[in-house]
This record gives sequence, C-alpha cells and structure tokens, in this order.
Amino acid sequence: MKTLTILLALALAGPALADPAFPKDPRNAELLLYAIDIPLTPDTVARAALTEQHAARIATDFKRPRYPRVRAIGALGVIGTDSARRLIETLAVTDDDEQVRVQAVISLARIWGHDDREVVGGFLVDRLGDATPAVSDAIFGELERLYGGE
Amino acid sequence: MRPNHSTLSALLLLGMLPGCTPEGGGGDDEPIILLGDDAALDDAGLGGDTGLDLTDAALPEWDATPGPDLGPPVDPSVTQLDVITIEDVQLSAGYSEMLTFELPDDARSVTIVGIGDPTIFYSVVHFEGPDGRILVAEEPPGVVLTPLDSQLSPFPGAFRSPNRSAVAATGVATLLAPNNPGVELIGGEWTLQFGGIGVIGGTFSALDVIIYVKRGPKVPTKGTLDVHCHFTGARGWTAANAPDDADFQAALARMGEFYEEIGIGLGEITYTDIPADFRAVDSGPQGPGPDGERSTLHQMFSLSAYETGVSLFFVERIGEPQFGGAIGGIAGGTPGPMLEPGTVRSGVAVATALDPNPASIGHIMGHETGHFLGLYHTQEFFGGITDQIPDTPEGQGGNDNLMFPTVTSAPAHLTAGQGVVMHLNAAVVAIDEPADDQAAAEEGAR
Repeated sequence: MKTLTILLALALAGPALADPAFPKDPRNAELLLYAIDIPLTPDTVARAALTEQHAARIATDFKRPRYPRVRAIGALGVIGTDSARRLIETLAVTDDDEQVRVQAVISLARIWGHDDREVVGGFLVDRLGDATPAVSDAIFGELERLYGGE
Repeated sequence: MRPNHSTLSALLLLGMLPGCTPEGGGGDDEPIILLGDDAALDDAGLGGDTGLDLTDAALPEWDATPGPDLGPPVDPSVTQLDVITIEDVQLSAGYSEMLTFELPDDARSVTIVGIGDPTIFYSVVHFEGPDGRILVAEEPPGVVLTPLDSQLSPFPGAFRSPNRSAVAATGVATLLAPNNPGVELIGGEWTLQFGGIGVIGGTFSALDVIIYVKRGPKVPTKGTLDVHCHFTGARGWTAANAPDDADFQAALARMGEFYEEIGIGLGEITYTDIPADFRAVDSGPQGPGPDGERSTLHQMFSLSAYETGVSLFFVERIGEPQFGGAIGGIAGGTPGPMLEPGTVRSGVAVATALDPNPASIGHIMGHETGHFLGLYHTQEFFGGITDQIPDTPEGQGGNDNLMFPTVTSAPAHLTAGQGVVMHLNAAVVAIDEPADDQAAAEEGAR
C-alpha cells in the first residue's frame, strides 16, 4: 500500500489536481456553499472554482439564507487575500446576523491569527473602541498564548 | 427481531489448534494465528521446528469444523440479527490477517464494525466470498486506480470496490454489504481483512470486530429506527423541552417523512442532555494522529450509550479546525458503527445555528443519518463520483434526493434502491410481514 504517498497527498492539501473526469461546472461553486458535510479547504474551494468575487457576493447578499453566507465567509478565509480579510472584518462588525459575525471572527482568528497576530489583535482592540492598555495587552497576550506554541 | 449473540471471539478462528478451546483458549495477550500463516505459527513456537503436525488430519475431530457457524435460524420465516465477535484482531505493518467467517444461506446483509485506536485510520480492505467474488479489494478487478483516487480515500482501492468501503475518520472501520444491488452475499466461508494507517503509514494496532448478520427469507421492506437525541443546549433545546418544542418536533417529523417513504418508521425516540461544552465541536480529525483523541466531535460521539438505532447530537456549530469554516452536519461514518455505543464515531452531529429553519435541520438529520446507515452522496461535486445505486439521480439535477450533498428546506426523497440499503443495515429493525398464505388466511378469517 502506498501509504506514504497517500498521507502526503492528504497532508499537503495543496492545489487540486486536474480533474478531467469532472469538467468544471460553474454551479459547483454555488453548491459548495450549500453543502452539508463537505469541508471548506483550499482543495475543495479550488475544485469548485469558487472565486473570491463569488464568495464575497454570497457573503454580502443579505437576502440569502444564513447557511450559504456563513459558508461563504469560511471560503473567504480559505482564499485568504487581504481584500477577503477586510471584507470579513467588516462583516464581523456590521452584519445583523449574530451567527454571521461569529463565523467572521472565527475565520479571522483561524486564518490570520497564526501568521499575523498584530493585525488580528489590532482589529479586536479597535472594535472595543476604548480599550485600556491593560486590555490590549491581555488580547495580544491571549493571541500569543493561543498560537505561540505552534 | 432480537440479536442472537453468538460471541465466538478470535479463537473461533483458532479452534483447530491443539489445546485451544472456544471458551478459554488464547488470552487477551495471545496473538491471533490463522492456519496457513506459517510465519505467525513460527513466531508462536508452533511452526516447523516444534515438530507439531498441523495438517488437518492431525487435528482432533471435535474442533475440525472450519470457522464460526451461526446455525439454523430461530424461525426461517422472520428476519433475525446474529452477531459474531472477533476480539483483538492484530494489524501488523498496516494489515490484519485474512479473517474468515461463515455466512448462512439466508444471510441478507453483513454490517461489519472494527473498533480500534482513535488515532488510526482503519478500513475494510478485502472482503471476498466463498466462490472468489470480490466485494472489496485494494486492487478491485477491472479498476485502474489513479492519483485522484488517492485523494478521495486513504484506501483508494477499497473505495473503488464493487461494494464501496470508505473511511471517514479515525478509530473505527465499518462496512455494510451489500450496499448496492450490483453485489450480493451467498452462504459459505467469507474472507475479511482490515487495513490501518497511522501517522507514519501502515501501522501496528488491534481491532475488536463485530459482525452483524441480518438473516431472513427476504430483504425487509418495513422496519423501524430508534432515534436517540442528545442535547447540548444549542438553540435552547434540552431533553426536558424538546419533546414539546414545535421547531424540534417539526425537524424530527421532516426526517421521519423521508424515511417513511421507504418503509422505515421512527421507533423509540429518547431525549438526553449532554454537557454544554459540546455546543461547538470540531469536524473530526483530518488525518491519523493525536487529533483523533483530541477531537471534541469524537469525545461527544463517545457519550452515546444506546445500543439501538442512531444517536443524534444537536450542537450549535461544527467548525473545521484547520481553516475555520463550518459544516451543517457530520456522520460517524458511512456506515457508522451502528449498535456500538461509546466509540469515537457512535453518532451523527447536527448543527442548529447555521440554518434556523426546522425543515433544513430535519433535512440535515435525515441526510447524515442516511450516511450512518450506509448511503453515499448521489453525486459528489468532484471526481465524477456517484453512489452505486442505479435508481438515484446523477448530476446536479438530482438535488431533490435526500443524499444530494446540499441542504434544502424544499421537498426531497429517497429512492427504492436507497431504501433497500437502509433496510439491510443492522440498526433498522425489520418488521416482518405475514407470509402470503398466512396473510390470505388472515384475510379469509375476516
């Protein structure tokens, strides 16, 4: 059994291989956002040809059900560009739906917290409005505790 | 239908060895040894140098019967569930020995559960009939495996086999056979092998194996499924208020409608509270390793204490640990380790916060329980993968099937073929219909 090869393929989770058996269908992007149990990973987002523009459109479509909007924010986190992060930050603060805001904060912490604690910490402090230095220190300290060991 | 437990232990496979008895031979620490495995016999001091004659002719007559025998059915006119257990199946360098067991002629299905180390991926990698028919193999006949297959499953050959064998996460191996009308069971000696993958590849491990054999005059068409509901407090639902909560009951009723269409009624409904710590859980380990033990999803599933039906866990959110997204539901396997409480995969999780519509929650309950009972997605988004059931719709036009991958509050259905698979699962308790002559007699009596 080619276990090492398999495990590497699983672990790397890199860009999707070409998939000639299943031509790209533009509906895949939409369906991925409604999928019940298909994870949002770089691989699934790439396979579904889900673009940042498409995910952003769904995430900000307030007439849509919550489900695809939450998934779209998750996908924006996976896409991970600066513009995606700025949109997520905005939704984390302004969206009327609490569960949408929850997803936005989780995406920020999961995706950017590892690599850019200053940005995430700054965002959280900024949202508090009048955070004291002690509170700011506590936020950055907590981020350090969360990610410092990795 | 009640299980007929004939616990045979691993030693039923060793019964032919001198000195071994079905009751007491071979303690927990003793290895499983199959006749014909010369290396294992050598390791155990029973090989050529010992001078023992291990040919069939040299064996005592009383234990020369090959493999387990479930015996005649209690009543051949009704469906019954027999159980074979094989304890402490050792995996060496990623593989178990080839295990054998007998199926009676009236076996309609087998549901195989192997319970092992929560950090290891397991799968049934070989399942072969007495006439050489291959249901599961690492290199299935006529299948050319590609790199894409390796992305679909860590056991790609098993996944592409005539009777698809999938692995969803760590700790448990499961298989329902048949799981499509292209394969069938026959009476006789069947051969079974498990594979295991740890963080460094093929691993040394052990499994306890339970094989449920559903026997009867025909495939059942009516049955019941017990549903055990576990509440974390998500959405305000608790064991105390859920029985009278209109939204919860609407979700449960929607799940029941899907199943009623294919002859499965919801049986006993139980309501249990579990710690609020599990309101937000992860989606399980993404590969072998310690995440299998740390997973809050797996810890939650381990709380299942019911030996019937399916355990549903209602949480607020199921988060993807690595990338931060969320999913609506997840099953402990396809199929799940049914009738085996307390394992890291003994249940189905349903997120209640992602879509507040009770109809959508009921759809997720039905969809994930469909996985738990052995159904695959009718159409995966990627790889052109469909289920192996001919009467299910293919392509993205089939989104009114319950096992299409997306959530909806719109009407959805199961096909007759999917119903057959679900009825074959050990967790669905058959309701036997009167035989034709008996039914006629009853009709006449009226």
